[in-house]
Amino acid sequence: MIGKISLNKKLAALAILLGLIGILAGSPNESSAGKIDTNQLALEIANQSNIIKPTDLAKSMIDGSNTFRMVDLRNESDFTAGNIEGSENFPVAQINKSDLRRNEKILLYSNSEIETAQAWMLLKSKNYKSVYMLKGGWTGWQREVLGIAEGQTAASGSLFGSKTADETAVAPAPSDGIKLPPSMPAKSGKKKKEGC
Amino acid sequence: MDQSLINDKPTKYMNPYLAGIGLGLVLLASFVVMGRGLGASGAFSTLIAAGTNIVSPEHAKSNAYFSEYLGLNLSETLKDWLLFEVIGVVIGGFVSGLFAGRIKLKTDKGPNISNGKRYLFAFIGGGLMGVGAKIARGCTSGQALTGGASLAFGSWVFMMMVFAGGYMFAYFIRRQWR
Amino acid sequence: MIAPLFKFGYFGDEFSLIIAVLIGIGFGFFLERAGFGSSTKLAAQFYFYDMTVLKVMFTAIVTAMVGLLYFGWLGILDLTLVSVNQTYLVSQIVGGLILGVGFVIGGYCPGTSVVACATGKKDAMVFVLGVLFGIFVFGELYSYIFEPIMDLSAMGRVLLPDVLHLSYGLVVFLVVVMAIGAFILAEYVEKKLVLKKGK
Repeated sequence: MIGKISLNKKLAALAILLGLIGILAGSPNESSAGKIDTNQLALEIANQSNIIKPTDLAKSMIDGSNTFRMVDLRNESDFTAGNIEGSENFPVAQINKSDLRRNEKILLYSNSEIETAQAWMLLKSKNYKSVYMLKGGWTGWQREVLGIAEGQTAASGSLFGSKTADETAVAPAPSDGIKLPPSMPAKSGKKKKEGC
Repeated sequence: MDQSLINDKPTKYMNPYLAGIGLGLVLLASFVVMGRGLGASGAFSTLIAAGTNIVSPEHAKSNAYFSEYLGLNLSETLKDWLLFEVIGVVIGGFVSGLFAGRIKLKTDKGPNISNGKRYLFAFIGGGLMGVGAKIARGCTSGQALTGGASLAFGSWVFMMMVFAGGYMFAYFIRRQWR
Repeated sequence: MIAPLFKFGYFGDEFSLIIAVLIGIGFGFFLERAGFGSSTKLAAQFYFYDMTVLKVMFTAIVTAMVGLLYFGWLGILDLTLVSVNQTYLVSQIVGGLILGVGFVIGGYCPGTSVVACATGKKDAMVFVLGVLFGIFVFGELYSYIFEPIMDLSAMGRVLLPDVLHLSYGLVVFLVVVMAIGAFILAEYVEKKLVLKKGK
C-alpha cells in the first residue's frame, strides 16, 4: 500500500513538473516551430511542381475540380478592381494573421512574381504543406485566360467567356473573371458529425 | 455489498491514475493521428438514423436530425468513424474483462432493489442520457473527456453540469444504489 | 508539422476506420480496467465512497492535455487542426444537467455502457436500449422542441485560455494543479467514508 501511494505521489510530481515547464510554451497555436526539410523545398523549386499554369487553373474551375484555396496577395483596391473568382484577399503584410490552414492546398498570386515567391517561402517555412504559385500572377491570368493584354482595362472584354460558351455549368463570364460552378460536386450528403 | 466494493477495488481493478494515463494516451493518439477525440453517443445516433431509414426512408430523410447522419446508402451511413470506434470499445472491453475474469452474465445493482426495478431505472437513465447527450452535442466521452483535454470552454461548463446534475439527483435515487 | 496525420492526408477515409477500431480497443480496454464496466462502481462517485470516476477522468484529461501542449510546442502537431467542440452554453448546460441525472439513475454513460455490455451486464444492455430510445425521441421531436434551443448562445471555437485571457501553457498548468487538488480531496473523502463504514 505504501508503494502504491508513493507511485501516485510520483505521478503527481511529474504532472506538476510537466505543467510548470508547459507554462514556457505560451500559446503553441501561434508557434512556427517545426523542422523544415530544405532538401524537399529545393526539389519542389527545381521541379517547378509548385507552379500552376493559369489555363490549368481555369480548366479545373470550369469542370468544378478546383480544390485550391486561392489567395490574392495584392492590396485591397487592386483586389476589388478585379480578381480571380473565388479568391480571397490577404495582402502580403497580413499573411501571418490569415486563417489559412496548414493542410490546405493554397494557391498564391499577385502582380509581382517575386512577392508571390517570397510569400510562398514564408508559408513553407511555417510548415504549410501544399502551397502553390500561379504562373504569371494576376497579369498572367488576364493575358492567358481573360485574353486581356497588359495595360488594357479588365472591362474591355473577355475571351474566356467566349471560350467557355458551350460549358453549361459556367455562367457567362463577367468582366473580371469566371463564375464558379454553382455547387461543388458533393461526395456525400452526410454532414460529418464530430464529437460524441 | 458496499464493503465488498471497497475491498475489491485494490485487487480487482487497475490503479485509477494509471488507468487514467492509459486512457489519456489513447485520447492523445486519437488527437495526433486523426485530429479528433473520442466519442460514443454519436455511434448510437448513426444506428438509430440507419434503423429509421430502413423502416421508413421518407420519414428518416424528412427528419431534420436523422438526415444529417445518413449517407447516400446504408453502407456509407454505417462507415462512420465513431461507429467503428465503438466496435473497438466492445472488443477492448471484452478483452480486458476476459483477462481479468470479469466476463459474466449478471445484473449489476445495489442490494435493496429488484432486478425489474433496476432494469426500469436503467432504461429511464439511458433515455435521459440519450436526450441529454444529443442536446449537449456529446456525452462524457465526446464532451467531457475530449473537450476537457482540448480546453474547450463549453465542454468544461458541460462537465461541471454533469457532476452538478448527478449530485443534485443522487439523494432521490439513493435506495437504488445503497 | 505532420500531425494530425489524417488531416494532412497521410491516409484516407477507409484506413481511418481501421484506426477507429484500434483506438476504440484502447478506449474500451482502459475503461474496463478502471472498473467502468460496473454501474455500482460508477454510481458510487455520486455518493462519495468511490471516486474512481473523477480520478480516471481527470487523469486522462491531464495526460492528453499536457500531450497536446507539448506536441504543439515541438511543432509536431498543428493544434488549430485538432477539432475542438464548439461552445453552445445553453445546450451544454441543459444537456449536461439532464445527462448528470441520467447518469445517477441509469448508472452508466454511453461509453461505459458499451463496455459493461461487452462484459455481460444485463442492466447495461437495457441501458443501451434506453439510450437508443432517447435518441429516437430526441430526433422525432427535434424540430418541435429541441431545434430552437440548440443554437442559442452559439460562441464557436472558444477555449479556456481565451475566456481567462491567459496563455495556453498557463491554463494547462492551472488545470494540472486543480486536478491534483481534486485527487487529494477525493482520497481524503474516500478514507473518511471507509473509516465510518468500519465502525
